[in-house]
Amino acid sequence: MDKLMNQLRAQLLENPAVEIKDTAGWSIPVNIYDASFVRVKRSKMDILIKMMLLAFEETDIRRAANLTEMLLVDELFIDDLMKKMQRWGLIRLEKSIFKLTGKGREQLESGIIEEELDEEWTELFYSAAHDEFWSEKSNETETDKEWSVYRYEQVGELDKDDERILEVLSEQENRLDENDFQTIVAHVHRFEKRTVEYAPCLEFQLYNKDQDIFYARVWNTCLERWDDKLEKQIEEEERVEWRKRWMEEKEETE
Amino acid sequence: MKAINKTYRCPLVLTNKAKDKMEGLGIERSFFSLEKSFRIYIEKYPQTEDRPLSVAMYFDYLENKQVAATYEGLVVILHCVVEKDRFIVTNVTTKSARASIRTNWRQSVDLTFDLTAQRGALVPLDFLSLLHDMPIAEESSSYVKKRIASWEGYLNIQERAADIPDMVTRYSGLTFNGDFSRVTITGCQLGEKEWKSLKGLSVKLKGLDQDIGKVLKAKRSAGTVEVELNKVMEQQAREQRLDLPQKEIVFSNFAALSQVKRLRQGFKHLEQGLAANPELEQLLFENKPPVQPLKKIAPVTFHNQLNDFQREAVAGAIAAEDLYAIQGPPGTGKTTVISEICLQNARAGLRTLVASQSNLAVDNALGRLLQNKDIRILRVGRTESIEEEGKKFIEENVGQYWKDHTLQEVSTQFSERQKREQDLETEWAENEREQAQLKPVLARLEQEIEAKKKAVKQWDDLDSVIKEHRVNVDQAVKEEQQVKAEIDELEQTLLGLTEAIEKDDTFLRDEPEPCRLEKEIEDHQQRMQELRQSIAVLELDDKIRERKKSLDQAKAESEKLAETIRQTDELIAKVTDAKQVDSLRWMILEQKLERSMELQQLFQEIKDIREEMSQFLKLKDYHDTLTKAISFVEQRLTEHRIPVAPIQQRAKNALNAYTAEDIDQFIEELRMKLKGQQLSAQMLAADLEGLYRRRHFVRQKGERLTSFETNKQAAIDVFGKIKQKMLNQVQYKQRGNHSSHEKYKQEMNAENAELQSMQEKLEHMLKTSHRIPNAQEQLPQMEEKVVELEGKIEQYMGVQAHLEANREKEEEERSRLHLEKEKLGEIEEQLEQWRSVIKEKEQEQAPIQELLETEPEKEHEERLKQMVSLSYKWDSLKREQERLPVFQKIQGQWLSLLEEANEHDLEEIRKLYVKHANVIGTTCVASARKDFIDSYPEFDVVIIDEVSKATPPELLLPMLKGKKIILVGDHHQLPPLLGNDTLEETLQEMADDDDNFEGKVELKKLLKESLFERLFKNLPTTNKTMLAIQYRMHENIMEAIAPFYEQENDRLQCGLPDSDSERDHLLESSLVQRENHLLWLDIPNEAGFFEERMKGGKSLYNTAELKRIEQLLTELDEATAEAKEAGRMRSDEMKSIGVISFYGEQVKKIDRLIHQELRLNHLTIRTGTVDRFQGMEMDVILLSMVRNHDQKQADIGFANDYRRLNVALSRAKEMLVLIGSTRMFIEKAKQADTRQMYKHVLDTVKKQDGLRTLEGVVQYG
Repeated sequence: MDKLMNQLRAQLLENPAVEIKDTAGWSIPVNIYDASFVRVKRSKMDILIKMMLLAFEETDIRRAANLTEMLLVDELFIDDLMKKMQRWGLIRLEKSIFKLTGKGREQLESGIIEEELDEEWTELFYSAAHDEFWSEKSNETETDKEWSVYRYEQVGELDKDDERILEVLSEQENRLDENDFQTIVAHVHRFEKRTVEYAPCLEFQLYNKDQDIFYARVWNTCLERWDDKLEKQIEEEERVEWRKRWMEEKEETE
Repeated sequence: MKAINKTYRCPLVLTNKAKDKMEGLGIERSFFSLEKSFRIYIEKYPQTEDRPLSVAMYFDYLENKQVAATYEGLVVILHCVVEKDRFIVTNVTTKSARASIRTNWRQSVDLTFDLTAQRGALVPLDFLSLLHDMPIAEESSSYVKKRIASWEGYLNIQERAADIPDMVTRYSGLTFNGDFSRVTITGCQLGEKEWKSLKGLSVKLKGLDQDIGKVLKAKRSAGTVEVELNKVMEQQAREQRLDLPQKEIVFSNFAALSQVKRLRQGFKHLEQGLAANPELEQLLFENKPPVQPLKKIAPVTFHNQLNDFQREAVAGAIAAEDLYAIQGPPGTGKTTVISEICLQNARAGLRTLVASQSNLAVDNALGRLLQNKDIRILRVGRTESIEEEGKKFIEENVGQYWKDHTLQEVSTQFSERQKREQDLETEWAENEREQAQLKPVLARLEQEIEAKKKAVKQWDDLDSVIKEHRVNVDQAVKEEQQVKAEIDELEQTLLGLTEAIEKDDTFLRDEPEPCRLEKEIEDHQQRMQELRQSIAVLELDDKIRERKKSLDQAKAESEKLAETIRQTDELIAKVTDAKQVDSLRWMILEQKLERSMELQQLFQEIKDIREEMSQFLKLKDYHDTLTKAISFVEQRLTEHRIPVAPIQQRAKNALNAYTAEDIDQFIEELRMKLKGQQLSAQMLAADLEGLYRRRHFVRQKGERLTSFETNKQAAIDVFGKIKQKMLNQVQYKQRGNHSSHEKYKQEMNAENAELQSMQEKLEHMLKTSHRIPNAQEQLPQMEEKVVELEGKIEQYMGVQAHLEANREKEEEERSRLHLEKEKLGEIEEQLEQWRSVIKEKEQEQAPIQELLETEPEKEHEERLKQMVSLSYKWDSLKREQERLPVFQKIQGQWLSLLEEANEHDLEEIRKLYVKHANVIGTTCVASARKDFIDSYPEFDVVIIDEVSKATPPELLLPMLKGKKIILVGDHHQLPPLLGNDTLEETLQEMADDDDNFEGKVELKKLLKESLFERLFKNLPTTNKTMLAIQYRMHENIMEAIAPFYEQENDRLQCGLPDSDSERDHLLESSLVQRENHLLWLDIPNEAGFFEERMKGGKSLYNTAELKRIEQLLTELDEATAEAKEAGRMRSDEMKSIGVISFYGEQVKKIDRLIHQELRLNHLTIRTGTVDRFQGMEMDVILLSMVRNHDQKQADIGFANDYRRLNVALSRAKEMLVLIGSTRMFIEKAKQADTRQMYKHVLDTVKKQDGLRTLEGVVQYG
């Protein structure tokens, strides 16, 4: 950790105008959640086509306008797709009503059928300070000592918002295979906080004397990057204070 | 140019050169039979004296399928000379089929080629005349060139600045600034020239694909380059991924150069006639844009809430055929108008391009378009430069956008229909109930109608009886009236008669009787007899007196004549004895004899004869003198023995004329000569000749005159004639005298006899009568009296007769009257009878009438209608009931599908959406990108927003694509920005960088002319509108900018119904009261408050103003906190404040101040130059004016531009605070206009009690 600290310090001081006024080390809590979910496998079929096939099956459609009225989709789109479907042999006119052909029915069935896969399990990492899920917590940097917790850490639990979790999982787990099949997260079964780990951060309080500017730099070891969210939070809270403090000190030394 | 569908036959021959060329290009002779007919685009070359009509024929690549298949990717061009009977191909070339060959000056025709034609078979005449009428290609392009020369200047400057080769260098390190928005690259090694051209170049690190940003500043001395990082690079920098091992950097100007190239391409396309609207050149460059008249459109139904100006703009933009301009002052709802136009276009099936100079403006406009299924918005451009509002419209997101929108609509309808299900049930029941209620009502009404029908029949029967009687009554009444009138008349006549009789009676009683009057007349007549005789006597007296008098006159006359006769006899004797003409003449005068023509002629004759005789005598004198002289000289010459005969002969032949003086003088001279000296023979001969000549002349003249004797005899004859004539005259007179004398004598005898008889008569008369004086007067009086008396007698008799007659008449009338009265009685009796019948029948009708007056049919009809509509409704409810579950089921499925849909499921939709997109948004420059042109070669309508902020070449790019162009802008706001700087800054920099910078003047000229301003001013009113109602500013703030729009047709108005409540800033502090919306914090114009300049920098800043801004922001933050505490604002609300300045350096300083020194928890602050802020709005605006100095030669720089001030003043919704020296701007500014402009602002501020001086602030400092 010290090595990293020195490395970063050297990097910051590459700019001759920059003075490091203060440094600190602390950590942010990362909540680790266990999530179990089910994915389904289904053919990749455009929803509008699927819906139209369904509609032909369900009711009498004479012209595109009938569908537009029901689906509230532009007639141009419907018309376009109906022509395509006729070309592909999915529908045909029978006594001036569109009916599914055998091929059409087949397609519809394959589009509807969903194969449910076995339940799966994964970990989700959530930082309250960022209000963000991180896909993976990469570096297991060890904390030498018991560092204090980030001073502006948000207290409170994550709202158990199913939709958000489904969204996060979908983003992580949805797949598309070559055979026009996709596997999609369908439901979340379980979502539970398992533990909290602490990600160390290194904070630098900087002064650029050329521009007369104070600012913060925070290295997030977990994300392996300068963390703008944390920097901003600190700057917003403390920057005016820093100026007061360092300027008074400067006057005193002078 | 429109396509011509007619196919022409075209006789063609090829020159040998053309044949060789074809072979060289691999085109076979069978080429001309590849198609049945060819679609050709013909271009006409300019015709000159030595060049006949010649054209180029372009074979269309798309239409000529066989040609395209055979010669893939090539357009074949035949260059021909046109003759009357054939086209001669002189050359054959090809060009790439990628570029369009359709231009505005090429005419499309269909041709069949005839290579076997004999000479003499003519080219079709209409084809030739079509060629004749075509425009010449180069004419239009040179026309454009001339007009756009000034635009070229701009491009030249840009091009020169852009033409920089790539530079590569190693570097030692990268240091990032606080928020990773900039990086300083250290240890760069570049050439001296390279350092100078670094600014603005894009920067690429070796080992990384993307550019990292643009050069902001290059410091050669330090070897550092400061780069502004692209937004996406921030993440990479934070992750330290920019720390690459290669340590090599590339500076390139590729992006800028390609942009300039695109602008240049736009020009080319315009020149090549590739604009979607063929009139574009004229529309842009003519003084008066030749716009088409507006089409007639049906009244527009608007989907947005629009004010009158906005409606006018939308309707105008729809009706315009080619060009429409909308001027939108700040906050007037331009975007709403654009949104409405897009929707209207979409509904009409038109495709619209929304373009603007900046990505931000495009995204703003798209973001505010109405969400409607008819509008399919697509945002085209580089994803990273598109703002949040526009992101959802980029190609990869439109599927999602469509899904969200459709999901919302479907779920709204779905839940509405769920509610509907219950309503439907109740409606159904209600309907049935109503139908049940209605049925008995209908039955009753039908019965009533039946009853009414019967009543009508009864009524009609009665009515016919009544009518019959009425007719009788009417007739009788008429008769009755006639009789009554008759009676009246008779009574009137009788009354008149009685009166007349009475009057006559009275007369006869009062007047004397006729016998008495007759006696009186007799007396009068006797007296009259006497008077008449007396008058006769008196008249005779007078006549006798007269006779006597005329007898005396005749006597006197007779004596006078006797005297005349005697005198005349004497005259005759005198004339007879006269010897001389003159004595005759005298007698004529004396006796006043008539001077007849004949007589006068005779006198003249005598006078002429006398004159001629005297002339003859004179000539004879000269002849004698000359002859004497001649004989003298002859004698002398004979002495000298000189013969004179030849001399005489010579003289005879000469033709001279001489006057008397000549001859006198000659002889006098000769005499003198002879007397004086000895003369030579020659001289004498000469003199002699002179003499001869003169004598000869005299002789000739003499010969011409009549001889003297003849004349004398003639004179005597004439004299005799005159005498005879005069005698004749006098004797004639004398005869007259004699006869007159005789007449008088006879007259006297007659008179005497008459007188005698009269006197006898008088004596006789006096025996019976005597002379009565005044008889003459008395007689007429007497006569009058007699006439009067006779009249009286006549009158008396007349009255008597009249009386008699009247009495008879009276009797007669009385008996008639009696008869009439009897008749009247009869009629009245009859009438009474009939009337009572009528009354009876009418009474019978009355009860029926009531029944008739009811209208069961009407009600029946209404009820029936009700019934029909109920049953119709019942049907439709039934249908709905049937359909509802189907709809609900399908929409339910649809909803769940939509909810579940992921991006793979939307792929097809996305494609459809892109295919059918009808509102495309992109920046001006991006609209010229190759891929964009390929996807969207043309638009029905091009809307360009914020026109005034784009340069003309930029505007041209989207304009080229539109059949119709709608320009939206405001020329009272700022012109284009160049890069990060204002125009003036850029110009200054260019001038500083290069002392020989020639383009400056050129560019300045271009910047002065705003394309939009010129178009807006010159377009007819039908093709433009100013949106004159603003909704942004509190009306007090608006007052400050009102003068900028005073020249326009409409005044700028405030559309907020109540500014005070809708633009209440809710803040209260010691400086700002609730009612303050416009403030000016005055800064003293003295040292300590003056502007400053950065060392080595150009831009200005003002520390004193910074201090005030700091104080003011703190105060506003506190005031906002207080407003929240007092419950005027929500606790999570933020006041948005913009701090702006004319100067970039000041903005930097303000930025630093806000970030570094202030902690403002209740304010959202944005900073920027005024130029950057155009298009934005904030609750509160603080304007730092910076300029403040006491230098005589310096002015106030950028602040002079009224457009900049307009933008600065029009950003605030609730409150605007100016911070600057009033004295500097109102008194010290150089230009009078500027001072006036700021004075208006100050006056407005003062009127609103908004001026604050420094003392007021110090206490908070």
